[in-house]
Amino acid sequence: MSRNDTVSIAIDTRDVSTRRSYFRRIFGRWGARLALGWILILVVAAVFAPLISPADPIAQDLSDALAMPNAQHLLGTDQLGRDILSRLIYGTRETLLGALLTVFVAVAIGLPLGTIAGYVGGWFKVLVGRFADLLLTIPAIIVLLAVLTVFGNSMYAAMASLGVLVSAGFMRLASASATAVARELFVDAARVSGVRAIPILIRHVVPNLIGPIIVQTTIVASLGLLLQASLGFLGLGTRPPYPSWGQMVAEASQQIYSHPWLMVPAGVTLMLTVLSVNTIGDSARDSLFNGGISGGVFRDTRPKDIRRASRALLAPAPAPVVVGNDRREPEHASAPLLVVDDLHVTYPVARGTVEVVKGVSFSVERGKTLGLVGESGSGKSVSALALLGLVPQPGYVSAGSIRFDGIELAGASERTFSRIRGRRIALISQEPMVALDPCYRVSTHLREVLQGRRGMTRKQADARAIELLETVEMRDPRAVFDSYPHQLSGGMAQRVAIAWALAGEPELLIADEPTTALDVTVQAEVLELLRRLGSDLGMAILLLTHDLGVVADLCDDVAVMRHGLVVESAPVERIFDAPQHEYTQGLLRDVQILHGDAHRIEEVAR
Amino acid sequence: MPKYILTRLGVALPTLLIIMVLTFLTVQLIPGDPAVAILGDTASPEQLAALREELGLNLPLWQQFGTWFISVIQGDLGRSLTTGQVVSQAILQRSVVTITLATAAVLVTAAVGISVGVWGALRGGIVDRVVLFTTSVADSIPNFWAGVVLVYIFAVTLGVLPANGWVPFDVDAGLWARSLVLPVVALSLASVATIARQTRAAFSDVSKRDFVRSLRASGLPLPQIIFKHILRNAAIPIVTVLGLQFVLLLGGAIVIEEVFTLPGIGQLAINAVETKDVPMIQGVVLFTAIMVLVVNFTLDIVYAWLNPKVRL
Repeated sequence: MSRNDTVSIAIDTRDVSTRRSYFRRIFGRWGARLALGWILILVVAAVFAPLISPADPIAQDLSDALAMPNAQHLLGTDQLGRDILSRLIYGTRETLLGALLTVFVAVAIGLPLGTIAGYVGGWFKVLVGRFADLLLTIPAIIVLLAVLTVFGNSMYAAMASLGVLVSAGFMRLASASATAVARELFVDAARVSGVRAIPILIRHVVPNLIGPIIVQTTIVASLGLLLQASLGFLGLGTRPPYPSWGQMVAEASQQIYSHPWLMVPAGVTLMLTVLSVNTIGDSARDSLFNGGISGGVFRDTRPKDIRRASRALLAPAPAPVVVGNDRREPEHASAPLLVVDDLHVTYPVARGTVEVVKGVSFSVERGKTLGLVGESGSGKSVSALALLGLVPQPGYVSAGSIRFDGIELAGASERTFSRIRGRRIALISQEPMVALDPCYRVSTHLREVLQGRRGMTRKQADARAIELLETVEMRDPRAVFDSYPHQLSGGMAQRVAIAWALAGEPELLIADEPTTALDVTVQAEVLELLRRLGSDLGMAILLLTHDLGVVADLCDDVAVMRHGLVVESAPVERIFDAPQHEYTQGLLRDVQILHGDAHRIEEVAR
Repeated sequence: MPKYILTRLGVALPTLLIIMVLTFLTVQLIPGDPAVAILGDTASPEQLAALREELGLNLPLWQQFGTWFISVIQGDLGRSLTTGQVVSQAILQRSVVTITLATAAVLVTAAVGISVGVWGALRGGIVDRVVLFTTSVADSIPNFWAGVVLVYIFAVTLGVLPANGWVPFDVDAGLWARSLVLPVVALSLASVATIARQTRAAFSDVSKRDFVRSLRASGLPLPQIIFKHILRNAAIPIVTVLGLQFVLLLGGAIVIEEVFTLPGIGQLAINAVETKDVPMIQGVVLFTAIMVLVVNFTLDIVYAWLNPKVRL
């Protein structure tokens, strides 16, 4: 489960090597290998049952009934003295055939019907979708009971019917994929060249779906195994004396008071089989989504030595260490609000670690705006998030110092950060549309800060919230207050996010690419708003951007970042007039090319 | 919201109608002459004629459906071919057990499954791995096998809970609860595992979304972020899965009733299969379909309550 595996594409289309590596990934885990091994053993057992069974599965010997495992009967005998191992081995045949039949029917109905539905679209697609929903409405076992009532006690009729019921999953997969494929040009090309469309579609749809189909197949197979066993347990399907696993459990349950052992062979075999199918399915799903999901979402994932290291160790002298509490030392009014010194942020990878921030230093003066400029991947976001103790997991601050108004934040505790976040340093992020909780109204977001962090009553909080929404120049603050995030436009959502950040009356506002995701016209408005707020409220702003135009508009000072390092930092005028570093010069050239037309117009006007 | 509820009803009612048509057609699907198939080759011509009359097989198909449909909406599902019981009465009488079992199981599934899933997602490390492993094993245990093993442990060996049987609630609530414990545990085991895994995945997924970072940056305490914000967002996909689990649990209840000899509709259904009692199996199919529709409708409303985007 290596984390740096994210580049490989699981559901690639026509690339055979990718597909092969997908299979290799599924069975790269020992669990999936064991599972596959078990299934192969079952297949061998089913095919060669007469050869490998130690005894006749239906030969009774009442004188040797209910024997415990011994040399002659490796798993003992049942209430009629039949050899349990042999019955298990013969039972494998029906079990596997039944599951196979279910999968076959489900695929044979689901894939073509879904493909056609996705390709044709329109009412036919709706109809197939409804049909798929309908199939999931009645418990499968009830339908199977009805089928068995009508068609007589035939296991194969039941398993085929189950295949029809569970074809819905394949139908959905194929329909969605075919819709996408049908839009692509090569299908048109294929049609023009006179080839019939449906075979072409299936040929293009199926490879797209190889991963999801494997996952769905394991789901269907495991359901088939369990339902078949349930029917056997209920005494339906296979007729005694011929063995089925479910029936063996039912017979064993009759002897539970005297011979509990009988529950073990059939039960464990059945469980291992279902577990194997599920394990392969899980592995296939995880390989599809690259490594699966890791737990421990809010845990401290820093290495032990870093966690143990005191703040003093992380932040070498001369930084005066604040011990025990966060009472800040009196600092000179002239001292910068924030001083980041030699900050390192490290990520663990498969082998060792990688530094994404390699010794960054910058400072923000009170009430001033610092532009942190760099491309995505330059480490500017990670550096800024470190100020709030929110470096995305599993990264961590591995060295350096972050001094905010006398408080050391590098390696600080959650308790320290809980006092800083929102109240003293606030954040607005790049994507306003996903920065708010979609389940709650704007009002909830603002109230949580105003009541929880500023200790207001609900009434005060509501009044202040409306004020804040007015401050960010919202046209209809009341309506916005009562809106859900999905009812806002990008620009409105960003204003709400700004109001939300202002609610805690922070001294420092981190704005991470605050306008990148917005329309050009809205960008200018939001930037103007930030500039006004900065000067009106005397709030310092740390502005992260890749756009030097934005920097020229808003910033007092600039730090240019590249590859996890600050390559140049200076007041804004100096950056524009006399850039020292080659990289800064390059960035400036790009801006001049982009804004070249405007310059020329100015020149002409002169 | 009222508009949304109406829309969902608009989806549920046609579904019910289609299920009724399919249920009706089960008799027609019987290969050969249904009367012969049901009564066997030895039946006399009079008996066959009587059964055709009983099932209305002499009429044209649409007329048969019309008559059947009208009586079904009036609650008349006919009589059992073997016992002569009124089908609707037999089902209603026994539905209490099945409904209790399935409802208790779905509640246990939701409560335990979500708690375990959140626990695994939050703790990570060894706890997470144990949760993952245990749930994948539990997910593979057939409910009937679990039932028998639970009986062996808690009834046969420890003698703390009854091995089988059903005590109605109004007779003795304590005994009622005791008679429910093992069946409900056996029934919900696999579903708990499924929901736990789904919750773990949904919770981890939501935790990585941008708004969680904004909430943390706003200084909101972590417990409030976890239980008020993340859990609510994670609950949205879980509700959908819970609906699918209910369908499985209702089917599983039929099997579990057999394990614990509980007087639910499972026994009716199994007898019907063995005796080709078509009206009875039709009644069971319709009953379960209506149960599922009712539960799905309820879950649709919960879903809309959780997720403001789908409310109209």
